[in-house]
Amino acid sequence: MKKKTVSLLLSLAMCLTMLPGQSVFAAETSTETETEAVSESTGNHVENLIVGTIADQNVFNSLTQTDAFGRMNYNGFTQGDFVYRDENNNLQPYFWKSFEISEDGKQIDFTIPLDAVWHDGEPVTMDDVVFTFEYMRDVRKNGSLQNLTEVKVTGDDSASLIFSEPDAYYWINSSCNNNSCVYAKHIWEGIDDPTTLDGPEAAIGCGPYKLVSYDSDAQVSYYEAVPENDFLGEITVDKVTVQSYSDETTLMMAMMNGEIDTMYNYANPIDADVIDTVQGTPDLDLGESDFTGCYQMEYGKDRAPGNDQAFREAASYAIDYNQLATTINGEYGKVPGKGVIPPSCKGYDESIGSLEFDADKAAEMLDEAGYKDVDGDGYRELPDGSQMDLTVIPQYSSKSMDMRNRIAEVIMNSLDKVGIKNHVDNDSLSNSEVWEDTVTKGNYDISITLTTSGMASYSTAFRYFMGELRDGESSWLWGTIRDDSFRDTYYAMTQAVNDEQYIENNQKLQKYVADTMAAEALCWETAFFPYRTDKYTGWENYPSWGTVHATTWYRLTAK
Amino acid sequence: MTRHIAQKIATAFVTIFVIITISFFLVHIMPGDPVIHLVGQEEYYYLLDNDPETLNKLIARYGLDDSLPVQYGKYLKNIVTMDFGPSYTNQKPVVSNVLKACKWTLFLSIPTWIIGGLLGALLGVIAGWKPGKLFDKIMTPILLIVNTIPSNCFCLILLIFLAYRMKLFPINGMVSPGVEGMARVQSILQHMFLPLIIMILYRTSGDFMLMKSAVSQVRSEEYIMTAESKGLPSRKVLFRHVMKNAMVPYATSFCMQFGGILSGSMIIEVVFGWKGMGTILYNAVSNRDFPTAQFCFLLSAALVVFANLISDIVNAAIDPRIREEGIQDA
Repeated sequence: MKKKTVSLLLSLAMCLTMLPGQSVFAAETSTETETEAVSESTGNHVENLIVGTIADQNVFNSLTQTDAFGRMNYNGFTQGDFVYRDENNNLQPYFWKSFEISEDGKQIDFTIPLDAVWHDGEPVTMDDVVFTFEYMRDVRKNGSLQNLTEVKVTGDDSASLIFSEPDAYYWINSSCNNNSCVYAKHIWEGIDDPTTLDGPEAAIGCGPYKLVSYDSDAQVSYYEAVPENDFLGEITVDKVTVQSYSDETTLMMAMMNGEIDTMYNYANPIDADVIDTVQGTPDLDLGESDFTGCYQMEYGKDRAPGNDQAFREAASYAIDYNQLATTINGEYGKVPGKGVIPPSCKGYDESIGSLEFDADKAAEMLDEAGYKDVDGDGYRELPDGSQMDLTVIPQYSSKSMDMRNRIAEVIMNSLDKVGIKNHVDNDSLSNSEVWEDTVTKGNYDISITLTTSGMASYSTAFRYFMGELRDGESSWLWGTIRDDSFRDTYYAMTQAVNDEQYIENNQKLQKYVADTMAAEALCWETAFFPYRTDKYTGWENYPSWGTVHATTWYRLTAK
Repeated sequence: MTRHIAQKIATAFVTIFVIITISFFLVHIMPGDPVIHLVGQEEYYYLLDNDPETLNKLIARYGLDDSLPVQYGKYLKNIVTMDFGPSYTNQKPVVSNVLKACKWTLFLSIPTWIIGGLLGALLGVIAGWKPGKLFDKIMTPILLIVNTIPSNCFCLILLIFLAYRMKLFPINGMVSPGVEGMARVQSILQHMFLPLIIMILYRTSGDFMLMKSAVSQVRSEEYIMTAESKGLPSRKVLFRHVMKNAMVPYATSFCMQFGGILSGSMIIEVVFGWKGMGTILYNAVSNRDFPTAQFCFLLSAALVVFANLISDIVNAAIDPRIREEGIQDA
């Protein structure tokens, strides 16, 4: 009886306090590429697709890219993204019906649909498009639009972006990973700081789905299709529910139990050790693909011994790459090639050989290069006889520091075994800014960093190896390659006006790092983005991305 | 007695002031620039290179360009007015963010404090009153094991077996989506059951050990033997002599546990996706969200000091020796 009374009181108290906690609102709220309808089926619509994620669901703002809402918008979800990347990493029009980049790389001509609507019912117009680019350049100070000189309207549904520099290819490629989409002039005009707008209007877009409601206590949000915004054909998924979980383990448990249909976690695949527990679950596909990102290490070349190519070549033989692959990606990891970027990246040069582990050869090469144990303490000295003790700095990460520490441990043990004394810089482990300061000043002998799949898709790992940037840039100065030819080749790659130029320069960079051993990848990984196969058909597992992307909304159908 | 309490209250206020001051300076001397977290790393570096003016405006807007003493003065004013401004991470008022998180933590910690406290005391008394008997032999090793297993490990084991394998409880979160009214309340109860049971088990095991130790210690005192030899029934000996003395350390511990009521469930909150005080404090410190972190510290510190104060008062009420010491000191 007493238990019942306590339970009743507890329930009553919760009832009173919980109800206001629920936040619900209704958002009534040279080669020309053209949009191709990707959906052929008109039957068997998916009634409600449930997507699991690890991101929080507290912020619902189209411009901040924060939380699950912001991240889901990388998939042409509630926003009208101009373009999207297909499964082969090629750009395709999305909100834009077509686009064409000029030969000099200074102009993009595009067309827009005339029947798209904002989620509050207002029509999307060319005014909105012009406003978007001016707002992103002048108010949001978008770096890739700094050389945009004019948005020229050429017709009811056509316009051109005109750049003073050949930035068109760069902008469209980098913007694709950055949720570049059209914004509503009637909502955002006059708002300098988008984070200050936190009402329902902040979530309004012109994507194929509108936010219907969310419950931040339950960490869930609900969306329904907007048939007018059918950029790639008929929308076959009627409703979408996004549900958040605390970590990968609980996310996978929920999927195995059938609570969610698929997962989306931006560029973060499920860890190999968690995947091992998922394997064998009926009606569940592991969503396996080659990962485009990778962990990499760079020798600090501002000081000895990292500035000696003979040392770098010898040290590369000392590292046990099989152990590294197992550490990073379990049984799925592969020994990487000397060109750093994985085969799944655009421009991968398969003629460049792989890294090799041969401790005896490493010791022999170190001896030949003059790195000998002169004082008999078991560790080698520099060729001039002075002490050698390498400083290793794994990149700080609040979420995956344990993995980086394990990687550092494998590298350090490998080097130790051939008599190279080393230590980890403990200060850098504690804080991202301390790490950033150390790496920017080049106060390291070996740095361990990560290239995400988003970065790998265009800017590549080479960006992190640069010791000198072009004028006006000073961010992410993590590398110590101070060679003008490397820097110029990198910018020639990012400012390419077409794929051929991009690939040509990308391959030069691969060759450069392979020849100089300035840096190396640590493992080529397999990515896992699992999904259930019992209810729906038409899943497409994009490499390094998973099954939630811009075409999911048009291709997925119920069985 | 009144004077004794007044003295303790004055000390509590001074302690809170010192904690407020220390926490302010600790948060501000932590390495790291909050502006990076305000605008995002990529945008921060871009603005630094191309538009430092915008960055400066942002710094001024949040008062980050003020000297430390000025920021400290503003901070004290914020405490008095209970206005900590917007959170750096989601721009919503810090006070409402934190109080909302507190509410969820209290759903777990209040029942834990009460049920765990009572259960631990009851079982501890039984085991300590008759040490070495069957009850003691069974309960002590079980609760000792519970007490020594790391809580995150224990959480995962129960999560896998009870939530994933047997599907008795939800895997994660605080409430199921799409439920309203009483169904929502039921859903919350269902979600909180597993973390609550784990927290109660841990609290019970700790309190059990303490109470068992206190009771068995008191039980071996000579005055207990005297009471028994006078022919007092066991029940009277237990309640009149043993419990009264054993309660002093237990009451102190029980009251002090109240101090950790907002901050004591961080690991369990993280494992079960319970968006409470532990999670918000962790995120605030990681993201250099000064106002949120400071308000969290303030609340936690105030609770600890308040619990300490209550513990002093309760002890004085239970134990006349403490009252007398207080009067003599005065």
